[in-house]
Amino acid sequence: MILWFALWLLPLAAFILAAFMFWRAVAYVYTSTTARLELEQ
Amino acid sequence: MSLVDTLVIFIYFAAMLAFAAVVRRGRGFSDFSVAERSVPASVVFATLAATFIGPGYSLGLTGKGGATGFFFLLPFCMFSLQTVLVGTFLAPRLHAMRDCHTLGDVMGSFYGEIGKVLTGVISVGLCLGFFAVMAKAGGVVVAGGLGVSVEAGVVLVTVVGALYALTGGLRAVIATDAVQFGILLAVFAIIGISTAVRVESFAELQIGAVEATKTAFDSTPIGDIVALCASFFLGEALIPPYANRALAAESGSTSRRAFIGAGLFSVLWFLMVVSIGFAGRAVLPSGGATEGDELLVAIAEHVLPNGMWGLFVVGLAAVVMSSQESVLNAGAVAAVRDLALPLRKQLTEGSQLRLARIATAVIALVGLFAAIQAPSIIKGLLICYGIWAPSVLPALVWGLVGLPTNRYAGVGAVVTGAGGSVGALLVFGSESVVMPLACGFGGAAVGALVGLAVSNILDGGTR
Repeated sequence: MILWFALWLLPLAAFILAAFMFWRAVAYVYTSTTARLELEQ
Repeated sequence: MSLVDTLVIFIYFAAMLAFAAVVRRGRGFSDFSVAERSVPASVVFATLAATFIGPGYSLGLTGKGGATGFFFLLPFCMFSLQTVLVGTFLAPRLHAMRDCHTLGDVMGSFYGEIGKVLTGVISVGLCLGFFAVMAKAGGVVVAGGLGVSVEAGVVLVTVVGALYALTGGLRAVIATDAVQFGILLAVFAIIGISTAVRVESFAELQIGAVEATKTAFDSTPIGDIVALCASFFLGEALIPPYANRALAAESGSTSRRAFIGAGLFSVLWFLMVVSIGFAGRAVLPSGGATEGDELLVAIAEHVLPNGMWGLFVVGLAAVVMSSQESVLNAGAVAAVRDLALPLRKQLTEGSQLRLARIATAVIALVGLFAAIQAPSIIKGLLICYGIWAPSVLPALVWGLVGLPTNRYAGVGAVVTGAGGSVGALLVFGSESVVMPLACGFGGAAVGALVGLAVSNILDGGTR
């Protein structure tokens, strides 16, 4: 059942990936900003 | 639109503006152009995916799914295949070119200054054209969602996006891409599940989807299917914003993993979006009346719970802005490295950064003007998109895989590849997909051979 897979399982997987990406984006901004501040000091 | 919807949209744009202020102090041109070559794999993956998911791979594909079932999965997956192949064979080699900030730099290292400038001209034209198209698309989306004029929508999307691209360069664009990727994933996931709960029988729907797919295959000549596949496979291969992400990755292996991951992810994304299109159209009260780019909006209006409209508009704004600011940054960096630097070689890192910010503002203003006032400019600039694959790609791939390069042959391939595809566009029109590609690649091969012959006559083929 491709449609069932595409409309139930893929969106659920997309939610998990979205949460992971928010976390990675915040971590990336934090680490790159921290590295810059350390460089400036 | 409720107060909650307006508030969600306001918070999104305010957050983007606040981010532009936070990242305003960049570390230099290398930070602006290639994010200090320190971006981790998961973030390169997210920014790549967010960049290629523009209106065509979301709104457009939903409409196609509604009309033809799974038919368009075949050509769209050619893009996925291309991304995986680029990741496997080319992205790590691109990353290994440590002194390069743009594809013009890469072409310049293979084919000299003329190769660099020609690539720069096509890169800037392509990015400017893309930027204007995205500005228009984003304007229409935001205008529809907020109930304002299209012009106001264009200005809102473009100015907010251009601000963080101008202040923070590629690092800011990549970070916002990752957030926007999360937003658009969540929004499409909500639409998918909200559609699924309204489907009465998946078995019946599946039969309908298979029939629609078969009908589309039967009614499309095999030549058109091959041309569609070829254009999806080659059309966006290694265009400047994607190449910049290969250069910005923290290592060659990071770059390879991110490209392969994005290519594999795109298959699942395409499947989810065509399925939303087909199932969504079936559950709409109007049935088959809605099609094209309007289908996704109609589905969202029908299936989303109350209070989610604002989030949907934000999702579409994220789709547009993540692609728009990527091409804006790539165009500005190409303008500085490939066009300004050859003219004034003594430009310092600080001057290059200042120029890149000016180029960002200029491209944003020209794109804004083209989107609001002059659609013909956009049409002209999109020729650069049409000629990218036949003109730059053959010489670029040739050099990247390590084959012996010759300056005359490389420049000849770029010039005649561009000439062949522009000529075919003028003769056969933009509807013809296969002729510009065929004439362009044929022209590139002829140009390379002529260049080689000229090189042999002038200096014995040693350059």
